[in-house]
Parts: sequence; structure tokens; C-alpha cells
Amino acid sequence: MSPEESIPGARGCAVLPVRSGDAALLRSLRSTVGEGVVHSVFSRVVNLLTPQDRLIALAVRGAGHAPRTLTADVTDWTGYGIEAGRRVRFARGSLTLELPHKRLRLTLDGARLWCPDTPSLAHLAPAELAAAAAHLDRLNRAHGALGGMLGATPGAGPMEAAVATALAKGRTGFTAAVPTGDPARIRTAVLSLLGLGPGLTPAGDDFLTGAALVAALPGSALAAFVPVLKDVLDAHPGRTTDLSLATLREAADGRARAELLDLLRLLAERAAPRQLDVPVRKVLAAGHTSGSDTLSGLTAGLHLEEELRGSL
Amino acid sequence: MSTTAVVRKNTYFDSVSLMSVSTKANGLDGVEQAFTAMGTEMNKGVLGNLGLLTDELRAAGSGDLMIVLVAEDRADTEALLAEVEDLLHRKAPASAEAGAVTYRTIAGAAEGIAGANLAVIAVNGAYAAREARKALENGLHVMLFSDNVSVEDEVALKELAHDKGLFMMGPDCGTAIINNVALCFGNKVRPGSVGIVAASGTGSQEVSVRVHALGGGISQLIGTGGRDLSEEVGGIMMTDGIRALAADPATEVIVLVSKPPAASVEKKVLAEVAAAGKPVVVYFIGGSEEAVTAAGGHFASGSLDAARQAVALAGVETAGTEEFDAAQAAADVVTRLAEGQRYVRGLFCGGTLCDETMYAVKDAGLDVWSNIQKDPAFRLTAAAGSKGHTFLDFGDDDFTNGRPHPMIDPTPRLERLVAEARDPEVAAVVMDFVLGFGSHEDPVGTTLPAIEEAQRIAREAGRHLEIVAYVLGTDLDTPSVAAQTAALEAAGVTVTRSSTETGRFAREIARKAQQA
Repeated sequence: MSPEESIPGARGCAVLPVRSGDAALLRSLRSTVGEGVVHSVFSRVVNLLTPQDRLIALAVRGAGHAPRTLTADVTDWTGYGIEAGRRVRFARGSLTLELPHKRLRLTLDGARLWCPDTPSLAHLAPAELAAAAAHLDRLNRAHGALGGMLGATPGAGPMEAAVATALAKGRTGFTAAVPTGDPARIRTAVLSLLGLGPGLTPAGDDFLTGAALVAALPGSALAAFVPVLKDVLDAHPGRTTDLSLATLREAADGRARAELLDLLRLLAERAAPRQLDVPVRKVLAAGHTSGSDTLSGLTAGLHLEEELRGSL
Repeated sequence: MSTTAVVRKNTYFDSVSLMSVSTKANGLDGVEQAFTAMGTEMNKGVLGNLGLLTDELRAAGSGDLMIVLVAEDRADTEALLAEVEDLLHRKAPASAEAGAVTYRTIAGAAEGIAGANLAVIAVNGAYAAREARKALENGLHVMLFSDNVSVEDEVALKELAHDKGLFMMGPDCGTAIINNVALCFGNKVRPGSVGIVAASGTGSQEVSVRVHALGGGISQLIGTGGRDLSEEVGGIMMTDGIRALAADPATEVIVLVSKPPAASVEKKVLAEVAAAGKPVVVYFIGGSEEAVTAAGGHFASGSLDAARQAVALAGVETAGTEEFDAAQAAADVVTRLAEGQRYVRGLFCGGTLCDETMYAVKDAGLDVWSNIQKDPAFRLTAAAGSKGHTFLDFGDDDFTNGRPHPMIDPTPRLERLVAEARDPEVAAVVMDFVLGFGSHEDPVGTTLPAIEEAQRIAREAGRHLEIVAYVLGTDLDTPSVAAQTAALEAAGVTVTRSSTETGRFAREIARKAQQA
């Protein structure tokens, strides 16, 4: 354990203050009591399951704000000895992780609150939406990673190529289904993408996350998509990974990583195209293809908004 | 061919680690294809469509990691499984090696390391300019490996560096040798009196290894980033680099390496050449002699010529080397070709190596298609098939999007090599292998199975396929040039001794094969 990052507390227990976190999560943790478990451990994030089996994340400093995420003043979780499957005790105002030889208590008092601010694009004209979508698409194709929604990498093997083909087919089906407003067609389209792709958040899910975020914004014309997505997630939680399921559920409520919301806010403020370059690159920096796949979904959502508003 | 699967219950890898396991599994001897994915229904559906779904995979859940190996018939699947398990068990390295100190900010590192004066920055392009600015503001020279930095940011950073008397090498700068330490991609070369300023990574590597091979040595190799000599950037770093080497007592001769600069920038650079007070050899790939000579510079027609002139001007005595008779060697190759074999295909890791060979073939008046061709009429995309004489730079963005550079992971061009062997019009395939710091530990060894496969395909079709290879490196590199060359020659590959020689040989084969 990194001694400068933890404050010695009771014998065999180190104390680490949580610096900031999702306001809604902090509110709910203040009344959560019981036993949870460490779900998965990465260098920059530790995922926990709460006593209610809800997935939450402990992120390192600088990882950026996100729904269901707390940020602690550490740079890397690797040296802490945290292992998947270990018990986590939730008490009012703290959560304590059982480590091999000691405990690590994270205290919530004094944590700064992050309240995701969901903008609205309802005031934008169809032509403005189309221009924004085209610009984002250009940036994505210029700087995004291949291997997901942007297509297979050159020289890809048959498996990656088959996933890329299925993703392209899924996108086509999705963009055709949503404008119809037909729940059955939308449901089929969602199921054709859900869980598709090799990563921890499969590319098909990331695409749906981007589209769901647009659909969940106040005044969106894609309103029919969100309830269908929520129904599918409730009916088929095992069709994708826990992490992806949590991300999709949040997106369906208009909640997403700060970088995505910042980008949408700039669109709402009619920012000049050049002002979008840096925020887009921040979005693209997520995961291997996750950022690019989410941006593909967001772009598809904007195109659908334009199409549906134009048809009003 | 058989399918072998490993399912790891409730195992989560971040996407970068997942890609790394997949890449390593694909590189195992006996593996035709490897694929890693979470066990979701849709992923299992894809495997089912490909006929690869085993009972074990069918039972995987969405929280389970699936690793699917399609192995060659001869492969020992038990051993492969053990190797894959080993890959999975290897813990990701901690953030710092034992005993090393990790600094959280550039300012912290600048304060904490007494005498530190250079920062090497390799972060996502979105953050690169900000980190470079911080380094400059903390009094550090910068080597910026990252690309995807806007030209406006590049100009601002270079102007800031210039005002502070610091180097701003990059963005997109992959090669430098500073005070005998190679940074990022570089070769182990003898210290000496030849200083290089280069806007081209592999071009500067090639000149440095040729200087070394001729008995000379390198004082400094300063990278500028590929865009430095554009109209927008105006050659700020190249100018500062020339001035620094002009003032450096250890440097007796300066060599400039770049693609031809913008006209206004060429004037500025040649003015610096005239004022340098030392001999300056100018190798502007495909550039013209007149302006360089008028400025008092020494014009070099190729990388080998640049190295030879530099070494001679530095007063280093070189043992005479036997000239390679490219015309005769090509004539010998052509006698072995079948009817219809008339084209040369180049598959390169190094952009400048590709450029030099491509220009050599173009100089013979032949049409050449490439992904780095300036003329849009002859430009190919990564996805396009080859056409006529084709020269591909696999290190170009078009090929590296989402993949490591081919100098780190040479596998992407292996499939292309095999594909070229199937084309009855192909007379020769030309390849480069780049050794040194930062490069793959055994690029030749990784490529040999594909070379053998290509030769087998041609042989069974009644054709001779000439495979020509150039190994860029020195006797001091690990592995050495000699060891990699020996492995290629044992496989029946013709190995050239320099990039320039590679270009000449390719040109002669292209010319003679097309005439035949």
C-alpha cells in the first residue's frame, strides 16, 4: 500500500477519503448498510457490487467523473492488494474492503458532489443537428480506433471481420427501426447489437449507449427508443457484461461520463466545430474502441433526431 | 485445423490488456487465428456462424472470458493451451518497476530529478500538447512521440521552445539520439562526429546505421517531427537543430534528412546551411541538387550517399566496399521468372525506406502505386489490393489505426506477403526489417513462416518468387544485423545492404521484368 495515500486508522485498517463522486450515488451510500463484494480490479478502477447487487466504481484521481463512480486520491489501485471476490462492508458514511492482511476503509464525508448536467438539444434545427453529426462523424473517422463500429482493422482475421459485419448490420437495422417507433422492431434491433463485440463493454453496447444518451435528453424525438431499451435490459440482463449493463442503464436515464455530457453541452451551445476537437478526443480516449463506438452511437442518434424532427 | 477454447469464469480484462493477450496468442507458433471476447450471446452467435462454437464456449456466460484458438493440424494443442494459460496468468505490470520512483506530474519529475533536462512524452494526442507545454515551461527539452496534435499547437509549442532556447522534437517524433542515448526507435551506433537533424524517423535511422557501418559515429540525432518543414510550421525545429549542431564542438559534419520541404521553408533551411560554418550534407528524398549546391551544401542523392559523404567529410577512413551490381543481379532474377511475372511489390515498415525504394523505381519511368503516393491517381488505400508496381508503407496511419506500429508488431504485413505470392503477375516482394531500441525483438523470426508460405505458394504454381529484404540495424543492436541476415539468407531471401541498394535492386528487377 502506498503510505502517503492512506491515513493510518484503527489497527490493521487504513483510511482513504473519497474526494468526489456521483451525487446520486453518494446520497444512496449514506443510507446503505450491508455486505457487498469486489467485482473486478483494474489499475485505474475497482468495481464493487453493493448489498443490492448494484455495480459501482472506485476510480483513481484524474479518471474523470462518471455515473455510479467515486474518486479516491490514489494514482493506481495495483499495489493495494485488492482482489475480486473479497468482501466489502457498507456502513453509513463509509465502505470497508477486506484485503489479505488488513482492511481499507473509504470514508465519504467531505466528498465533493458531481451532478451530471444533462443538456437539451431540442432548440437545435434539423440542419444544425445534421451539421453536428457530420462533423462528429468526420472526427471519429479521422481519430477513432478501428476494430468496432468503424469497421475491422486492415488484415483482420475472420472472427473480427464477422463481428464488424454483424455490427454494421446491427447499426443499419437500428437506424431503420427507431424512426418507425414500432417497439417490436426497435427491440429486435437492440437485441442484434446488445453484447456484440469482444471487449468488456462490447462495441454494440457502446453504440447503443451513445444513441440512448441522445434519446434520453429532454425534448428528444427518439423518445420511443428509451423505454424499449430499458425493457430489453430488464428482460435480458445476462445478454451483456455487468459493466456494460450498468453503463447502458445510466445512459437510458441521460447519465454518462462527464466527457460525453460536455460534448453534448457544447452542441447545445452551438459551439464552433473547432471547439469540438478536444472534447471529441477526450471521448475517443476511452478504452480501446469504446470511445469511438460510443461516438458512433451518438452520431447515429443525432442523425435520427434530424430525420424525425424534419418529418414533423 | 482444429479449434481449441479456453473459458475463464468471471474474468475481466480491460480492453488494452484483452488486445494484448489476443495479439500474443495470435503470435504463438501453430496458431492460425486467436480471438478473445466476453462470452455474450451475440459473440457466441458469431463463433457459431463461423463453425467455431464448442460445448465449452456454448456454456460461457457474459462475465466469462472466451479465448478461441484455431490451431494448425501439426500443432500441439495441449502446449498451446498451456501457453495461453501462461499469458493469462501473467499479472499486468505495476505502475513502476520495483525501486523506481513514479512522479505524478511533469513539474514533480522536473523538481525531483536533479539535472533532468529532457522529457519524452507519449500520451494520447488529446493531452499531448498540454503535457509538452508543461515540460517546456519547466525548462525541459521535449521529444513528443504522440501524434494527432494540431498544427496550431505544434507551431505554438515550437515557438515557445525556440523562445526559451529549448528543443521541441515532434509531435510524431519517433527517433532521436541525444548524448549517445537512443530515444524511442533508435539504433545502437558508435559515438562520433556526424550530427543529424531529421524530419524522417526511419530515414534518420538509416543514415545513422550507414554512418556506423562505414566506420563513423553519431554526435547527436535530433528529430523534428514529420511536419516541421511544412509551410505552416516553417522548419522551426530544423533551423534550431542546425544552429545547435553548428555550435556543438563534437559535431564536425551535419546531415539533414527530410522529404522535400515547402519552397519557402527550403529557402530558410538552406540559408542556415550556408551560415552553419560546417559541412552540411542535405538529403531531401526526391529533392533537387541545384538549390542545395548553390547554398554551399553537399547534395545527397540517397541515404547511402548521405552517409558516405558525411563520413568522408568527417575525415573517417573507410574500407572500400564492393559495389553491388544491381543490373546483373536483377538479370539473374529475371531469368528465373515465369511468363507474366512482371511487377515488384514493396511491403515496408519504415516510411522513408518505402519512399526511397519507390522513388528509385519511379526514376526508371515506371508507374508506381502506393498508400504514400503524392499523386492521387496512383494512391492506394489500406483496403485496396495491389496494382502494377505497388509499394506500401505499413507504418502509415491508414494501416496503424487501432494497431501498434509494424516496427513493434510486424504481423499485419504477413498476410499481405502471402496474398502477393498468390498473384501470378508478381516477380518480387521487397521488405524491410528494422532493428534497434523500441523495435520488435525478432522481426525476421516472426516473418519467416510467412516467407516460407509465400515461397511454397509460388513454387507450387510453377513460379519463382524473388523475396528481397533489407535489415536496418547495426552489429551492436540486439539481435544483430548479421544474425537476422543469416536467418533470411538461410530461407532463400536475397538480402541487400542498404536502403539505397534495395531501391536500385527493386528498380532493376521492375525494369527488366516489365521488359521481359
